Amino acid sequence: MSRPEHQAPPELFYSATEAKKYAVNSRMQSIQTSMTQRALELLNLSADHPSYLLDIGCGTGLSGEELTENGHFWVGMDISPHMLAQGLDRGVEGDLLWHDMGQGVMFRPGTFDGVVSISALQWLCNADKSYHVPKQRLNKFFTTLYSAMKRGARAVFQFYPETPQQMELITQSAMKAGFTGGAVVDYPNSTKAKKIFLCLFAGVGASVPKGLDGMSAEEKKFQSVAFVERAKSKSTRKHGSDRGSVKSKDWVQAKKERGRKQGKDVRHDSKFTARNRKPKF
Amino acid sequence: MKLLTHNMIQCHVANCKSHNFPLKIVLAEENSIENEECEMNPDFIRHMLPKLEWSALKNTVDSLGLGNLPEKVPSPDNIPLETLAVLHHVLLEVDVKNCQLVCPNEECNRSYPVVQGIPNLLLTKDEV
Repeated sequence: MSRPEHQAPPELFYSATEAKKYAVNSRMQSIQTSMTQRALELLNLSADHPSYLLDIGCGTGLSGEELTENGHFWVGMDISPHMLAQGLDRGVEGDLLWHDMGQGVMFRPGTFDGVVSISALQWLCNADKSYHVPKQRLNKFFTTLYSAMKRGARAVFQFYPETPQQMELITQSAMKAGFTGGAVVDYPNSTKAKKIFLCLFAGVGASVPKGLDGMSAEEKKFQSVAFVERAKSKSTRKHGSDRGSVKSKDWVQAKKERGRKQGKDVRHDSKFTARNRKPKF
Repeated sequence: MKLLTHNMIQCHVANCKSHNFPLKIVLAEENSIENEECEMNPDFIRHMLPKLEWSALKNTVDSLGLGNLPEKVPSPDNIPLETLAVLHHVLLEVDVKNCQLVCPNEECNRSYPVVQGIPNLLLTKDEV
C-alpha cells in the first residue's frame, strides 16, 4: 500500500470515512494509544503538577484522551475538519483548533510544558499547494514552536520519515530553530514495531533517551560478548600462531575419514600418507 | 474554545507583529456561550497563573460578563478559594461556541471564525 502522503493532501486524505476509521478501528486506536504513552514517557514531565500540552496533528483526539487519562490538559490542532468533527462527537476534553502546522504555531511565548505529535510530522515534507516549500514550512513551524514552548520543555514527535534525506531535512530545520536533541528509534531491528521519535529540547541541552529494542539484559550481554570474542579470534589469526599448517597430516587424515564416511573411494592410510617431501631446488 | 486557549493565542498573519493580542471576541448569537462542567484542579490553576496574561483575561471576562476577577494577579501560593473557583469556571468550563476572533491591531483587523467551538486559524496564501 502506498503512503498516505502520496495520495492526497492531509485535509483531503483524512475525509469523513477515513476519520471514522479512527473512531471504530480498535487496532488503530491501540497503536495510537501506545505511541502516545511512549511519547509521554519521553516527555519526562514534572510529577508535581498537571502540565499544559500541545498536540500537533491531534486528529480525532485519540492521543489527547491518553493525555487526559494521565491528568494533563491539552490543546490540539489539526488540518482536517473531518477529523476534528469526529473529535467533537467523541467529546474530547481538550480544545481543538483548525490549523495548518506549516503556517506556524500561533501561541504566545512560553505557553507549553510539552508538545506531543503522533504520526503527523512527515506531512510537512509534502508540497501540496503550488506555493508550498517544505523547507520554509518546516522552518516556520519549528521557529514558532520553539518560542511557544517553556524553556526546558520537550517536544516529542512520532513520525514516519520516507527517506533518510527527509529525516535530515527535518532535524536540520529543528536544530536551526534552536532545538537540541535527536531521534530515538524504538525496536530498530523490527520492520513492523520500529518507531521513530524525534525528541527535541527547547533551551536546555540533555542527553537523548535510549530507544527500546525488545531485548532482555541477558540477550544484550550475549550480543556484546559475541562481539568481543570475534575481535579476539581475528587478532590471533593475524599472528598465525594457533593455526596449523595447511594440509598437515592431521588435516589429510581427517579429510580421508570424512570421505570414507560419505562412502567415497578413498586410498588406505600408509606410512607415506601426507609425508614431508624433500626440499626442492 | 475555552478562555484558557483564548488567553494563549495571538494573531499570526505575517505582517501583524505588534498589538496582536488579545483577540477580541465578537459573539455571534446570544446563546453562543456554553458551560461544560469539569472537575476542579487547583494544582493546574496555580501552575498556569504565571503564564496567564492577567489584564487580557480580566478584560475578556468583564466584557462577556462571566464573573468577578481581582484587579491584580493573585499569588499562586495563597490564592483565595473564591478566586480559584471563578478562575476554574472561567478558564476551563466556559466554552465559546460561535463567535469571531478579531485581531486588535487596526492595520490588520483579521477575523478568525469560531464554529462549533473550533476556531479556524488557517491563513490564506498571502497572509503566510
